[in-house]
Amino acid sequence: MIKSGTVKTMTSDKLIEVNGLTAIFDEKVILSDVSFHANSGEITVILGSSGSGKTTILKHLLGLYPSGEDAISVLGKNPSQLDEAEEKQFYRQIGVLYQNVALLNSLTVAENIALPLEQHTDLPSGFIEKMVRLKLQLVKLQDSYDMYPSQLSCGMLKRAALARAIIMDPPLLCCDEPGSGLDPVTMASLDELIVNLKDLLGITVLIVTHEVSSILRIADRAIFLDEGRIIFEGTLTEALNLDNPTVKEFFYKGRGN
Amino acid sequence: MLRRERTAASFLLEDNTLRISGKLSLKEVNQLLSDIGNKLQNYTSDLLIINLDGLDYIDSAGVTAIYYLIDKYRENGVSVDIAGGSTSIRRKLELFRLEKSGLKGSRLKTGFFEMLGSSALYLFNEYILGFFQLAADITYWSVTDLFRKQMSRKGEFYNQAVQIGVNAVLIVGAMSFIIGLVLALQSAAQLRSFGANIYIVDLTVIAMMSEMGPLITAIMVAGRSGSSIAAEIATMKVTSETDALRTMGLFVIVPKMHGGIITLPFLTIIADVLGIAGGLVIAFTYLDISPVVFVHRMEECLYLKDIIFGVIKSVVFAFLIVITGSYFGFRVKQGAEDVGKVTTNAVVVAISLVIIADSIMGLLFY
Repeated sequence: MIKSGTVKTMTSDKLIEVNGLTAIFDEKVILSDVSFHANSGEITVILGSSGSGKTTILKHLLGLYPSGEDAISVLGKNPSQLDEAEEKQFYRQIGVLYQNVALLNSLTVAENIALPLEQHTDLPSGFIEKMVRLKLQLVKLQDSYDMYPSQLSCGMLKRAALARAIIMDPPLLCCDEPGSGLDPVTMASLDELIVNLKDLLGITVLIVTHEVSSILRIADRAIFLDEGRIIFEGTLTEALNLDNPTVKEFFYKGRGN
Repeated sequence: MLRRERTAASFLLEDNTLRISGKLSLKEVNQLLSDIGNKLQNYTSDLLIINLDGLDYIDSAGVTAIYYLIDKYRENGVSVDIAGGSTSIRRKLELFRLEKSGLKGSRLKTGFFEMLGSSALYLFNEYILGFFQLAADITYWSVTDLFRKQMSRKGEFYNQAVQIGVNAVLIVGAMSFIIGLVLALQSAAQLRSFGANIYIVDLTVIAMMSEMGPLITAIMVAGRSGSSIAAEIATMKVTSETDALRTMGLFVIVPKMHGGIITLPFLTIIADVLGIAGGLVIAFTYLDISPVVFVHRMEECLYLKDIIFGVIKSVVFAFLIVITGSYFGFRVKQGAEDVGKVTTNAVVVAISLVIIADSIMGLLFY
């Protein structure tokens, strides 16, 4: 199991805090009084079966859905209540790895990765190229600089999307189902990459997933969601030793035992 | 010399030493690059020492900025050394160092003639050869499928015939009528001044039958169906649907080709008839030629050869429109933006080919 050395030295800074978040869509309760936090420098995993509300939480955290005044604090701000300048600043500090990758197909890998830098900074093009090459080197995709997304495999696409997510050196990286559609070997290498990047860049990572093998490899803290409610929040070891039938079944079946 | 607040970074270039202290992250990089990068032109010494003793924090952007500056100074013949820096800063300088292989671009510089030759070869292989190969493929499959009936989904020929032909009747008919009307109107004034009123019939009928009818129909169909074929195939290719159909033994273009070739001659005849009707209206209202006289004269000046010639033309046009639409559809490489581009190209090229083919056939069958 890959475990980073920084876990022991982690601070108790709460980069993400959610207090009593409730989400109702079309009279259907998706999230009910959800409260949790994610510590700085840790990998926090939101887990639960499909339809438990994991992605809804992520969308709230990214400010894509509105939330009550004190319900959410990400990097000290409520993402759904920012003015234009604050919003720009906020998104500069968050890297997002989307479930379906969301690279622009008409741009090369390098152009895709450079996009946030070109959009948010006035840095010279030579510097941007170096940054892009460095991030591609970190995700081990040096040779794909000039390629188009359609020429890459699924695992390579995820790595390219990860390179784009970290191009701005964000303090917070959010990943939505990073392992979906990947074979176990590629998934493991992507997990390893995320852990290494966390160590290298000192970033906080929030991962939404239901892949048990992935959770066991990378999670420092786990938040277990079931039908829109949090049934567990704590370290991975505590989660594994928990005497809760839903959590036990999730880990038991997820391991394929 | 420049000083910034202690909370951010401070860059101090004195003699041949650049001291960077405080925090160097993406936010401060621009300042560093513009301040120190600009001083390069006036830098006289051939040595620069970058001292990192006062640096508290650096991220990957900061490290890249330092290496970027080093490269810039080295390109100008200044040798650069890094001094000081805590263990963690030194470690990051190592971790975020761009490997040499990563620095080089993958593109090689080519000479003018090599570029010219390779572009010509690319143009020939990609466009001309590709077009003819696809045309040959489609012709083969369309003809053999007439006997085997295996290449297209059941009912698809009917769907395509309706989409390409039947749905275009109204617009093609209306346009032909208007063009027949305008053609006759423009000629009427000229013919009246010579007292050659009756020749309005010859002019309208021959022009509509052998030229305008097939051409208007083909241009309308190229705009309507050529674009939709290109967009449909391009989107199917992007989403791998064409691969799925191919593995099921279906060739998506065959029913389109059949639909186009069968319906375009009928559309052309409808266009001919309505165009002549437009001429008849003008002949009657402006030149006092009664419909009976018009039809009688038409019987004299219209030969079967003109009608057949128009129909043959329309078959060739249908072939060109479907091939061009499919060819550009299959050329799509990337996603959404490319689909738009190939669709535009398909329409432009299809209309151009139709006009070129029309003039060639005009010369041949004159």
